[in-house]
Formats: sequence, structure tokens, C-alpha cells
Amino acid sequence: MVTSRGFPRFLALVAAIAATMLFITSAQAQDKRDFYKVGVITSLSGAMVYGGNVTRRGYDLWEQQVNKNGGIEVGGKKYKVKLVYADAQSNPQSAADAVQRMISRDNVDFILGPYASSSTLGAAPITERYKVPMITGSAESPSIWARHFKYTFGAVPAVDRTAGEIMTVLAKQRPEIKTVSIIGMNDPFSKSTAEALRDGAKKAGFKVLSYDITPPDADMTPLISKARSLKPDVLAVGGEPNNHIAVVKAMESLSYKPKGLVMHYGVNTPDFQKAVGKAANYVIGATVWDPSLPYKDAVFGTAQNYVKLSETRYNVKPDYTQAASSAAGEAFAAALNTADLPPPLSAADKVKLVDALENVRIKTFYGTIGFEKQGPWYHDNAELKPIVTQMIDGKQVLVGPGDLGTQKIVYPQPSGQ
Amino acid sequence: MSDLQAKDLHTGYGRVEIVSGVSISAALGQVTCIFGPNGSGKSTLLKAVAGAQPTWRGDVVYRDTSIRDQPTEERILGGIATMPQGGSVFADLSVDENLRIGGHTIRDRTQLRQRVAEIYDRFPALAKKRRARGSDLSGGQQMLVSVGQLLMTDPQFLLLDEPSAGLAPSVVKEVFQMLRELKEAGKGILMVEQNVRDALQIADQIYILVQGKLVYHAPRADIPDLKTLMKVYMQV
Amino acid sequence: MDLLLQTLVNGILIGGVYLIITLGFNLAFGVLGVIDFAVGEWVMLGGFTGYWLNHYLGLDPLLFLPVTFVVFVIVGALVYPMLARLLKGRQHARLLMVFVFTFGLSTLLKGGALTAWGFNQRAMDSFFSARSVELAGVYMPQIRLVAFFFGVLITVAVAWMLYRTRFGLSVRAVAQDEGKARLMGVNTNRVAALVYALYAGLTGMAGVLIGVIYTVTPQMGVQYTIFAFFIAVLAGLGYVPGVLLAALLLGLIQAFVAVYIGSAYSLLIVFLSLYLILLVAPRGILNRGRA
Ligand SMILES: Nc1ncnc2c1ncn2[C@@H]1O[C@H](COP(=O)(O)OP(=O)(O)OP(=O)(O)O)[C@@H](O)[C@H]1O
Ligand SMILES: [Mg+2]
Repeated sequence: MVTSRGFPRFLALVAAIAATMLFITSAQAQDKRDFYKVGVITSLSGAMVYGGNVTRRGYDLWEQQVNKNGGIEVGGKKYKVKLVYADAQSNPQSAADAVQRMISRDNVDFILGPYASSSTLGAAPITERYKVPMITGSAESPSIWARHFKYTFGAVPAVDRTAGEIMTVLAKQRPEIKTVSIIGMNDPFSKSTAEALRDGAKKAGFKVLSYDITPPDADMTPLISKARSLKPDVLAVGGEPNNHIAVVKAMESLSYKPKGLVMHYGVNTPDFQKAVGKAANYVIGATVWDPSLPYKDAVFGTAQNYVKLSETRYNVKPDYTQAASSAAGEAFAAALNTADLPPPLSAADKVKLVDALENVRIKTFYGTIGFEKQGPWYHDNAELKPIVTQMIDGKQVLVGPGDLGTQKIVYPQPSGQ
Repeated sequence: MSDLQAKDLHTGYGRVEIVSGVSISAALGQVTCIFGPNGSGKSTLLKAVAGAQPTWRGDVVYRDTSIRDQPTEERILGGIATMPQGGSVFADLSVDENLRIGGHTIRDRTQLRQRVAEIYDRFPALAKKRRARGSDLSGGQQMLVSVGQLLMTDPQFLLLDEPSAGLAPSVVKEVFQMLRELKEAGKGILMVEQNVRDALQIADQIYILVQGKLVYHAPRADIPDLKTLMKVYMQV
Repeated sequence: MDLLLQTLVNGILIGGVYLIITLGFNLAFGVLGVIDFAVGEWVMLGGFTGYWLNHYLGLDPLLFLPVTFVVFVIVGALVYPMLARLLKGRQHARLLMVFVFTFGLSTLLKGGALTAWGFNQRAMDSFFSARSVELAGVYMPQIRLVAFFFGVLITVAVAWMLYRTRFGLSVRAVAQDEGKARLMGVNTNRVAALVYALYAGLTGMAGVLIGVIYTVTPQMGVQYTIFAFFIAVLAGLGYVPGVLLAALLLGLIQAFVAVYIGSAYSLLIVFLSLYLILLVAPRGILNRGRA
């Protein structure tokens, strides 16, 4: 291939390539940024694009507010943040690919993680391998924390610490409830939710008449018919908002309304409200955050103010996932500040950042954030308590536990069978 | 006299030319035969004359007008009907449906029904099988259906691609007898055949096609017997 | 007992949904000999057509079925010439080209819909939504009954067209052997164009019904593409009457597996049964399609 006359030229080419590579690597080493490069990995396409955009709004709002305040304060100086995005495409494998590309190409300092537990489970092993810290503002499946990823943190308490609370509150307020049927979608988050609902129901002394896990795309009428034939007092569903819509539509078409309907997550989203209309009324759910709670911080102000910021920019009322995503950024800021780590972060800095995150305990508009250092919920936010809600006339009303509730759960719902 | 002609006809598939500058003439009341080895382009030539295959260069002339740009439908309406190699029976259609699709260009329903009835009169064996699927027929019956389809439009010119292929000897005889009768009724027949011996019995003009080119043409009268023709055939 | 009957009814009615999406698809496959991977996107666009008409005009979405049909027939007639150009290519390359084309079209339509309408789920209600007919303790959602009878109706209409009309005869002839059909004077290109337009029209209408039964989102298409393909294989590729049986069978399998075995296994069992059926009858359950 290489002729004798061509050989010197070949050598010259090799030398040129080597020089270029050297230049690039040294340029990278000297990458003297005065801002933080923050990777955002979330689903911007595919089935979870709805939730992906919820998290994205949360992350973007944090960027907006932090930069408005001049940036993150480290060692007396303020550094702005710049977000770079990668699309998890609603599936774990793409999430892993996207995060890998983002880490190696963009050399990000830290990562704001995906929507949904499935994508988080795809991305976490990669951040682990490259030792880049990540906080997810959404993932709620306990299966993530059970795996003890050192570099992955979560801003929302795992669903097995929140969904079960619904059953406890139901049992306390409405002792006439005896039986429950449970339907869960077959994805990590929804399945964990269904399990938590089941375990919570058993603990609360309810009899679980049926427990079915279904592919989220499946037609829901067969399982609704099955549940109806068992005549449970409460039907509980573990799923994403779009699954809840499918379930409610199937129930309506069969003229079935249980006495109590539990849908842990998403019943206050505009899509759900608009899609199912009046049928959204009296659905019981859980949250870890509500704008009416008296939380506040320096970046967003009060919880109420956070709602205003979101409405101004997106014309959307934030839910707890969006709030948690914004708060995730605040946790990073606090850790960078205490560990004194200006940008760009070296590999050693990133390890230090993880140590700092483990010791963070800050009060935000979203509530307190502090991560578990051991146990089954390793690195998950341990500070927030679940709040049980019920949709009443288009509003999410807090119904428990204890003093957090502003009124008792409406049960049985009007014309519930 | 020539009623149907290909003039310096070129055609092929994709970019590959298969038939290169072939000229043939066929007349009413005559049987014109094209012989040639496998793959020489006989079927392709016939399809070009029938309009199922575009003519790249050259012309197809029928009764002194060029029909090279006419779609098959118009050529059928003009009186040229074709039986493709292997017959034209649709395996999943019934005999009745096969005949009706053979008369696809007849738009008048009553006329179509009448034509089908006429074919049944002509081939009583088919009348008993009108509900049978094409694939359930014997080879001989399928040939009858194919001929029936061909005659549905009462054409002046018949293009036939190897009508005797794969048939039992007794059926082959019947087929050639039928063709002879059609010829005597004044129809023009342009036919591709491998069965040179039987074809020679009814042929009026002989063409030999090799690798897309015409290598031989003679009136039947100039060929004393099969042996002479076979000699020519072997040489080319 | 009630649950058994109810599950039977649920299964049949799910089958009705499958029926309306697969009918045109299988017909088009029969004639064109290619798989249109954009089938789910036609369903999606049909759903959105119904949704927007309902949104702006406020009338019952089912009233827009005829308009949707006409719109999609026109769309199909406009798309077909592009497909036809690819179909004229050489045999094996052309299948690949058509695959690339329809796959690209599907991606484009989905992406376009996402950009135009966002990722939100949208629901539309008909007079028949949220109503059911009760018969001896068995509940039949009215909207699904409507969809089912609509599906049966168009199946009968398409079957009538295929088996009782001159055009239908030429469609079947083209589906079996395009070359022979052309020699009989059938304008095969026109037949294929009309069939594709008909398929687009039927599938657009299916989208309206599906949108009313479930919801519409730009991403709803994929699953219907899979189901359409699935049922078409089961029915016998290109064999239209088989669609009715295959759709019902699939609906019943899904319903019964969900209730009596476990919904999580439904896809697995559906695939397994498809595999077994094709092992026994490679040309579909009625053994009349293409192998
Ligand atoms: N549809 C087609 N596409 C591409 N090539 C074709 C097609 N049909 C035929 N051919 C090729 O054209 C050439 C001539 O074929 P044709 O069928 O015309 O030959 P033939 O003389 O009729 O042969 P036979 O005696 O075997 O019937 C062959 O090489 C064949 O492979
Ligand atoms: Mg031939």
C-alpha cells in the first residue's frame, strides 16, 4: 500500500495526526471554563416524552434562576451554569448510549438525570463507570437505590416509602374499607408503585383481592372487568399519567366506578385532567410536594413563587417531579459550595463532589434534601414525607396524613359501586 | 400482406437489453411461429407486441397504425389478445372468474355474461367446472380455460407463448387442432413454440430468435421437412 | 360465569379495533406486495383529523368518519405515485427501497406530528363514550360496539367489492399475478393506486375510532403498526376475509390471557400462538394467504 516514494509523506501524515490529537487533548486538559457544564439526560422523544419534558422544565428553571442570581457561589466567586442535553428516547439502552456520548464528548461536570426509573437504571451504570455524579429529579423505583450506585442520587423519595402511605391514611380515616384490587403497569416505576400499594394495603389490614401487572400498551377492559367482578372497595393503579388515562377511559366505557380509586401519581397533570374530565374527580393519590406547603429558599423563593415562575415561562402548573428536578440542581450547588469545587471539575473533583453530596442537607422550596448514606434507599432523598391527596372539583386537596390534611377523604365517591 | 408487425424492436429489463432490433410480420389467417433456445427473448418480444412490456426503440404496427404507445387494454380492444407462457389461469380464481377477468375489457355486464356463456358452449367440459378454483384443474383443463380467456374478447389476433408446454401428447394434439380451426376461421396467430414438430404442421411463417436477434426467417413453403428445419436450428 | 362472558365480549370488542386497522393494510399488502410501515402513522393522523375537527367544530367525532375517509383517500392517492416509482425498481432492491421509504415516511410523520402538536395525550368524546349496554350482567361499551359493527360493516363492504364487482375481480387478479392481469388489459397501476388510496382512507377512519376509544398522541402509531402486521400474517398475508377471524382471535387471546393467566404474559402468548399457527399453517389460519 505504502510505496517507497510515498513513505515520507505517510510519516508526515501520521505526525500531523499525532500533533492534532496532542493539541486537542492538551486543550481539553487546559479547558479553563468559568462556568459549569451540566449534562441533562432525559427523554425528549418516545413514550415518556411527556415526563421527560416535566423534568426538563424543572432543570431549565433551575438554570434560569441560578444564572439570574449570577451563578453558583464557590470560594467567594460566582460561576454560571450551562446545560447540555441528551435524549434518553424513553428506553434504558438509549439512555445508556446517550449518557456515554455526553460524558465522553461534552466532558460534563455533573449530570441531571432521566425521567423515569427505567431510563435511570440504564444510565446509572455508565455514570458509575465514568465516575460522574448524577441526581435524578424523577426516578422513584426502589430498585435503583437497592443497587447502591455510588454516583447516582435521587431527589424524590422512593415510591415504596410514599405510595403505601395512601393505604395507611385510607385505613385510618375510613375503617369501612376492607378490600383492594391492584393493577400495575409493567415498568420499574409503575411496578414498584403497585408493589408498594399492595404491601401498604396488607399492612393497613386490607384484603388484596387481585394484583395484576400488565403491559402499559395493553387494552385495559379485561383487567377492569376482572377487578369489577371481585367487587373491591378500592381499586388502586400503579402507572404513569398516560396509563391512568387509559384505565379511566376503559372504566368509563364499562360504566364502572369503584367506591375508591387510587392512582398514586400524575392525576393532577393537565393532560390527565383534560383527557378524563369529570372522571378525574375523587381520585386519590400521593405527592411529596404541594405549592401550599410553607417551604422556601434563596433561588426560587417560596413554593408559591416557584409556581409563578413556572407559569410565567411555560404556562404550566408544576407538579412534584418538576419541583424535585429544580431542587436537584440546588443540591449540586450546595455540595459544590461546601466542597469548594470551581469549574471545570477534574476526575478527582467529581469524587469529592459525591462525598459532599452525601453530606448535603439543605432546605429548599421543595422541602428538605438529604441523601441516605446506607441501607435499601442508598443515595435517595430521605427527608421528605408523603402527603395523600384527592382530586376534588379539579383541585388537588391534601387529605392526610394527620395535620397535613385539610379535609377527610371523600369515600365512597358519589355513585361508586 | 402483414397485419401485425414488429419493426426493429428493442426492449429489455432494467438497463439490460434482451431483444435487439427484431422485425417480424404476421398476417390474419396465418400461423406465424417463433422458435429459439431458452432465454433468447421470445417471451419478451411477445410481451412487447402485447403491450405488457415497453418498446424501447422501433415500432409495433397493427393494420398500418403504430400501437407502440397503446396500453394493453387498447390493444385488446383493437383485437389483439395474449396467452402468456404457462397459461393465464389464476390459481385462486374460479373458472367463472377466470373467464370474466379474461373479458376484463368488456364493460357491458350483459355482454360479458353472454361471452362467458358462449365459451361454456364451446367448451362444455368447463361448464361443469365453473365453480372450481384454477389450481384444482388438470393441465388440460387449465389450457382450455386459458384459451377460453383468450377468446373472451373475440380477438382477431392471438399471441400465444408456448401453448403446448407441459401438456400430455393427446392434449397437445387437441390444442393444435383448435389452433388450426382458429386459423381457418381467419384469425391471425403469432406463436412462440418449443414443440417444433407439431408447430410446423400448422405454421405459415417461421422465425428463429437467438440471443435477442433474428437469425432466420422463411415461409413454411420453403422448408421441405422437419429435418431441414432442425438442421438450420442446430447450426444457429 | 359473568366474568367469562364479560371477557369473551371484551375480547371480541378488542378484536373489532384490530379489525378496522388491519383490513386496509392487508388489502394493500395483497396488491402491492409490500409492507407499509407507516400504517400506524395513518392511524395517528386519522385520529388527529378527528380530534381537530371535533375540537373546532364541536360535533361528534364519529360524524367526521366520512370526511376523514375522503381526506385520506386523497392523501393516499398523492403518496402512491412515490411508492410506485420505487416498486418499479428491480426485485430485491425494491423491497429494501420500499421498506426505507415507508419507514422514513413513518418517522417523518411522527416527527412532524410531535413538532406540530407536542407530546400531549388528547382525548375526544363521542355521544357513545362512557356509556355501556348491560345485558345479563355483561357490560358492552357502546363506543366499542359502534367500532365493532363499523369494522364488520366495512369488512363486508370490502369483501363485497372484492368478490362481487368487476373492480374487485381485477384487484384479486393483480394481487395474484400482476403480469397476467396486465395481459388481460387490467390497468394494474391504477388498481394499485386505488387500493392504496382505499387503504389510506380506511386506516384514517380507524384512527378516528381508536382516538375516541383510547386517546390520540403523535406516538400512538408504533403499536398499531405491530398489530396490523401481526394480524395480517395471522390472517394470511393479502387474504382479506382472514382478517376478521385473525383480529377476533388476537382480541380473545389478549382478553383471556389478561384475566386468567396474567396480562404480563399476553404478548408472549400472542407471539407463541402466532408462531405455532404459522408452523402448522404458513399461509395464515385459513391457509389462503401468501407464505
Ligand atoms: N421480468 C424480468 N426481469 C428481468 N429479466 C427478465 C425478466 N423476464 C425475463 N428476463 C430475462 O430475459 C431473458 C429472456 O427471457 P425470455 O423469457 O424472454 O426468454 P424466452 O426466450 O422466452 O425463454 P424460454 O424459452 O425459457 O421461455 C432471460 O435472460 C431472462 O432471464
Ligand atoms: Mg419464454
